Amino acid sequence: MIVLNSSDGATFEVEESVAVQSQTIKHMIEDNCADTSIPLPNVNGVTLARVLEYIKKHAEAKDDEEGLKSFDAEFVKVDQASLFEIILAANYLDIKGLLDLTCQTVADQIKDLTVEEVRAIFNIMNDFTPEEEAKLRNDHAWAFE
Amino acid sequence: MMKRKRNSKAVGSQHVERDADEETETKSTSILDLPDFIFKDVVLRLPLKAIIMCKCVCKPWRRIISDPQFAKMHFASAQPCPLVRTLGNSRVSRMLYLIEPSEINVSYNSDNYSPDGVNLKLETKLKIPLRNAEMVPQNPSGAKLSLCSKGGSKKRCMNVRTIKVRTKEQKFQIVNSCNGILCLSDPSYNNPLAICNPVTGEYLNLPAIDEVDNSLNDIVSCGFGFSEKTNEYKVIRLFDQGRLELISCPITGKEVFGKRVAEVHTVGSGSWRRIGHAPSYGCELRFTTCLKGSLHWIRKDDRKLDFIYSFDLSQEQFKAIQPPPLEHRMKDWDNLRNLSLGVLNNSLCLCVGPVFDDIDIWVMQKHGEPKSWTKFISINLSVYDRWPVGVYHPINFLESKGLLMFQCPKSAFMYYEPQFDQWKYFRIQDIKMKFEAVAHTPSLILLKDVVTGDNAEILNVNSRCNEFKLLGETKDLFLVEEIRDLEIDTDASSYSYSDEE
Repeated sequence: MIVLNSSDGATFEVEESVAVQSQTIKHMIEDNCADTSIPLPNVNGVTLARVLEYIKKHAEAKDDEEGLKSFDAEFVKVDQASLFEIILAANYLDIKGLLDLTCQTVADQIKDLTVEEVRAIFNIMNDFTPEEEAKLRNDHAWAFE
Repeated sequence: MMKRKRNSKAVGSQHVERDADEETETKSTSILDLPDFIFKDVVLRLPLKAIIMCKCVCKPWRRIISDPQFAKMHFASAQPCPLVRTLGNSRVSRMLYLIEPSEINVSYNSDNYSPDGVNLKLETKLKIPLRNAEMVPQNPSGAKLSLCSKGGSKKRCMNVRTIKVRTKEQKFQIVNSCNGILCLSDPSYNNPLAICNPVTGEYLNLPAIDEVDNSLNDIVSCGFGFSEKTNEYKVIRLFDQGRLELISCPITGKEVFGKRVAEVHTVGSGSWRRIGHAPSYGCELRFTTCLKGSLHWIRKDDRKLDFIYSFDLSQEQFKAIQPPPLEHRMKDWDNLRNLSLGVLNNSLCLCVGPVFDDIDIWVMQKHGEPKSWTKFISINLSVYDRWPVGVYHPINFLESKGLLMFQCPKSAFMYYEPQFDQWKYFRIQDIKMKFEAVAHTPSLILLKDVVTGDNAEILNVNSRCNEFKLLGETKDLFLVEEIRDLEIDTDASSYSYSDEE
């Protein structure tokens, strides 16, 4: 069993065979940095719990393609901030499948939105002047018709 | 004023202004906290329209998406798509309809005969410029004030001025597509005049051509391509000049009669360079294909198909490529007219047929090695009712493993699944018009990264004549599945390639 410490002091136990889905953890174990526990200062407790849920499920049900598909679909049904926390964690922990899934989720959310909707939903400020924005839209008129 | 977000651990985060008030709350993680490379990963999964939309959201996103490295990444995973355009000598059209592969949903019902209801609206409408746009009067007399209503709702009627322009002056012809950039020529002589990336909306005019060279009946052969070796984009034009005389053939070195010369323009260099004599005197070269640093053509009306012409863009040399070993049955008198040259699976591809009941698709597996010509697909049609005769252009394999091809006189798409030996036939729903489809791999490449030097003036397709709509430009096009029996067109005119309408 491997012990993981989140940035806010929460502790999690997980089987080594499951934990090595994270390349980062895998390398730490191989380099013998995992004596007592592995500190993960870049991931908070809530997010780490979610990530562990993902890798546990993907270890258990490895061959159940249908089951994993529906698990993944439910897994990403979280609020925006949590989704980005998971992306950052998946990147830091180097879990390819999770990064792939979460990036695709964000892409699917963006794909049919307009510029205004993207700004509203993702809370992005419009830093273009009206002239700059008008020129951008005019130059790429085909995408806005 | 740009402020770096506090507690930002991610390297290279997109910077954005924040109100002072927000600084005091614990900020929840936002999309802007993602490092650039993850943001790029997300954007690369989007269809073209959405990528352009993202470019217009905020400055950091515009910076990332406009970066030449990003354009390279995007292009590396982009697939050839059909770019559809109306044909017809009387019609000028700027509209190009791009059919992205994800849009084509091909599935079979179990009995294989019932319609799947494929009814695809061609949404992605790109635009090329009007030729000689400055000649189009700003307030043309006789401009029809035409009401264009959207969805029948009177409230949303737009007053759109439709004007008629003249094909002789305003129309561009598409020569070929390379790295997402189209080469445009005049429809009368095929002189290359401009290059354009319809996705970014940019275009630039090529240096003027000395019209004196062109005698009235001579069609120019040309092509546009990229040489990775020299990292340059070049345009070549082959034309007749002067008197017929004995020259040294640039391919064989033998003495032949000729008067064809070749000029090359390195994009951005400001002028055309004479590089010497050109092969193919007396015939037009067609199906310009750029692949792996060389341009390729086959002769129009080449009943024998002795060889495929090629021009190495870095060495600036002509070569002859041995064609595939076509079987005797494919070489009967009239049948070599149904030939097309293109790219499939990133290899040179020659599509022969239909000849009686067969279409053979040959692919040169190893570039530059004629011994590697392989008959990739052979479609035997005798089991089906009838297929339309004409030229087939393989475009690409879709994710579903089937081959998408465009058929010329019928302006239709064929989708063929080699695994199951099954096929579907889609038609563009506009019986009155004919269309052409060019295999185009869309890219975000900016023309400033294409030109060598700083001299070229880069223009936007929407900078002129944007307030006008040309006849038919506002129309929507649909791709519909055709289930009925297909007739063989015994009308001789349908045998010939497109533009002799």
